[in-house]
Amino acid sequence: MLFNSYIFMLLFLPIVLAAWWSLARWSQIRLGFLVASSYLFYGWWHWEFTLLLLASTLIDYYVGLGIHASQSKRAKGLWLSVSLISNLGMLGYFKYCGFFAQSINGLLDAFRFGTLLNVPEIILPVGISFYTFQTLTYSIDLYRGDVKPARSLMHFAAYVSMFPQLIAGPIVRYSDVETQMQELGTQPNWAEISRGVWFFIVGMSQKILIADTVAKLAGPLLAQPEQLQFISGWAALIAYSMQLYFDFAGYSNMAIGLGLMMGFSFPQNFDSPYQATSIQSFWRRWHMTLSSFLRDYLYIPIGGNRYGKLLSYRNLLVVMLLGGFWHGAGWTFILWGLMHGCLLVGNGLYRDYINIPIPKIVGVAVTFFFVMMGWLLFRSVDLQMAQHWYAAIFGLQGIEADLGRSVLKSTGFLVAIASLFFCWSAPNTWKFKPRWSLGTAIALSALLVVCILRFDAESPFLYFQF
Amino acid sequence: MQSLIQSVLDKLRNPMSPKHFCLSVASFVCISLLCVSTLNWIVNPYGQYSPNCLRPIVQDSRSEKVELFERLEAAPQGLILGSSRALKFEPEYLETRTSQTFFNFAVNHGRPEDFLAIVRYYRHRFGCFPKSVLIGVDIASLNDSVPNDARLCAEPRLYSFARETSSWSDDFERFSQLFSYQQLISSIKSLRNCIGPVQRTEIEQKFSSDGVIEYIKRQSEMQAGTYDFESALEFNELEFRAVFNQFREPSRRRLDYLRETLRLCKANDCQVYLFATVSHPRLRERLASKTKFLEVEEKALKAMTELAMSFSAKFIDFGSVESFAGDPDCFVDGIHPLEPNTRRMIDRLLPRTSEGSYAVQ
Repeated sequence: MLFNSYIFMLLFLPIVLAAWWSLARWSQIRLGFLVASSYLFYGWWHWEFTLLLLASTLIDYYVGLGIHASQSKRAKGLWLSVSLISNLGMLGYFKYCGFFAQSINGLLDAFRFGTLLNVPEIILPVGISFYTFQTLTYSIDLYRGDVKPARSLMHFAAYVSMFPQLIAGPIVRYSDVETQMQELGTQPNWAEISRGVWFFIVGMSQKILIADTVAKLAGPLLAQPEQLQFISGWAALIAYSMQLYFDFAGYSNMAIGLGLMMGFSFPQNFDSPYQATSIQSFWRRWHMTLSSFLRDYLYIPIGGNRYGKLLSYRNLLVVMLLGGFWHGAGWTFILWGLMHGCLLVGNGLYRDYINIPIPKIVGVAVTFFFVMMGWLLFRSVDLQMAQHWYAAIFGLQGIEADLGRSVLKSTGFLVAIASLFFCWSAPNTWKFKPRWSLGTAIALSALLVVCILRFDAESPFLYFQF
Repeated sequence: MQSLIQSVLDKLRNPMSPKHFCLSVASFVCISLLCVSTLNWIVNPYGQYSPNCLRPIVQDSRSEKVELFERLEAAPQGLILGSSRALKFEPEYLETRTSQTFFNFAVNHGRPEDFLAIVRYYRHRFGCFPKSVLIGVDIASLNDSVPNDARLCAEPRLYSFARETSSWSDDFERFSQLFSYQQLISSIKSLRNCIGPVQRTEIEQKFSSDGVIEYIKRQSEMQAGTYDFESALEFNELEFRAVFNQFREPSRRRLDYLRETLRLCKANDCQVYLFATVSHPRLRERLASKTKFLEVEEKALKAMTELAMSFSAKFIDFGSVESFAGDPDCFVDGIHPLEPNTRRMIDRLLPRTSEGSYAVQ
């Protein structure tokens, strides 16, 4: 089910919110209701995949109990390995099996051995990358002794399946919601609910009014990358950069808003990333919950910056490479991760050895340029498309006359440029403090109604594919 | 005046409690949606709902065909069923080849549930079954993700014969369309057409008494050489790319409706001629290169062949123009063939067996 669908807005959400607050006195029933509605939300797309969600939940819940009950480090490690193998195995099978088979075939074909492996056509269960990471963090945190085991299976199932953030994050750690789940509010906190309404409507507007509008420019242009030229190439790149940001930030804001309406506080996921003055700062502002996950569960365990600069650079490269691979099973994602790894290393070298201060505006412009170069790889379906697109933006496929003019006049391009300036200058949703007044209520309602009217054009979120 | 504006602005700016704020948002949203949906329901621009206060801005072929059918004095011996791609199959031409009278009951977005409803409706109207039925099936119509056409649900004379084909999700889809931007814009256009100072209703197409379509606007543009075929083809490509990007397997329920139609016909000695409808070669090529069209087509053709064999129906795949020696220049767009092509398809479906005798007697 999509947040931007009639079934969600007209039926699911009103019923769930009404029931959630009506059941406030009975916390177990309330959590059970949350789990059931979250499974319905998830299973709406393919009910079969709820079994995967259930399997991941059951495994990690019992692994958690095993880790907690174990006395020795070795026994805890064994339990943890069960969680690692099952979660990463599930992710590996559904997400990477086809890619590995295809790559091995490609390699064998290059050496004229022909193709040996059948490339399986496996449907990627939506949100699997997110909930496997969440269950993993629970087991690892228990292993480290950072959290206590979930109070009950229902508590844990509610944490894993909570529908606002189930499909595309923010990646919520058990420690983030542990206390909140144990002390569920019995009376609605209207101040928090108002903030939730604000976040939800802002997120919905970001998705429907900005991301979907610029997608109408980027989509058709990128359908034929070989025909891209200088102007259309840049227009598509700017439009896609805006689409991705507003699509994903919009989803995160909606998730945070829904959480607040139900009395949960989720972590911030975006902090005006296009205002970053360096790549390092960009990664502290973009998909913040993934960045902190990679830092705490990968970068620091493999050494972090504890063993000198050279090894810390290597660790950065490894982390970003794996981060890229997490986003998608394809060489373009690997290259995108590697590129950001190199940029972070370059950023580190500059900071460590040159460290000449640069004006903020230059920092923002340079960072945004490199981020866009990365988005080009990120959006390309294969290396050939990336090659065409790079050639286009550097003028190697010519500079068009007619198309260029029509692209520059299109609504999508104007909205992309306007939203870019908005990104550079406006405070983000977290910093903005709205005043609860009749005017704000009318403005927000109008925005929501306009968005609901646009639900007739179905448009899933970009991050669902990861 | 200034003080009034000032007081309104003050009211808008005055802080309110978070609880009142939430209730205000919820109320404004509900009231706005109620207004929009009431307007769309009353104006009913696509003929999807019961009120018929204003003429729908798009032609509702189901209602029009039912009207034409009700006016028939004698039962036609044959029926032509299908989507808009079969609207140019001429009963007159079929009569010259079969000596049977036909009625073209093809409707826009005609799908198996429509065919079933129409065959049952025929029996209800005339108390018997036709002797022959030609059914043109679009591969895209066997898609599970598309709900029943809302115009079928809104035409009670047909819908009463296919009520079991509609699920709650179809009804919900029809309900949710009341809140759609597209529908709101069309309602406003409808209202403007009716109450504006100049009433301009350009008739783009009409049906003759035997149900065949006449593309008035497009054919006059074609004759004048101003018709933009490329844009029409691109429009079809966009529409069907979206369909075939999600389409993996032919819909079981829609194949069941087709099976039930064939079963009814066979049980009542009605000969069925089933065919897969044609697409323009360039559209086929584009869909084949950008979607899984060919893969889906193969599965759908296999299912239709099996169905036809089970019920002694004749089946021909007219998917490509080569299959009936068709002419790529005789199309209105990527999916709608003109008479020279529909006649060739009829020739292939009902070949002359010998001089003066025909396949259907």
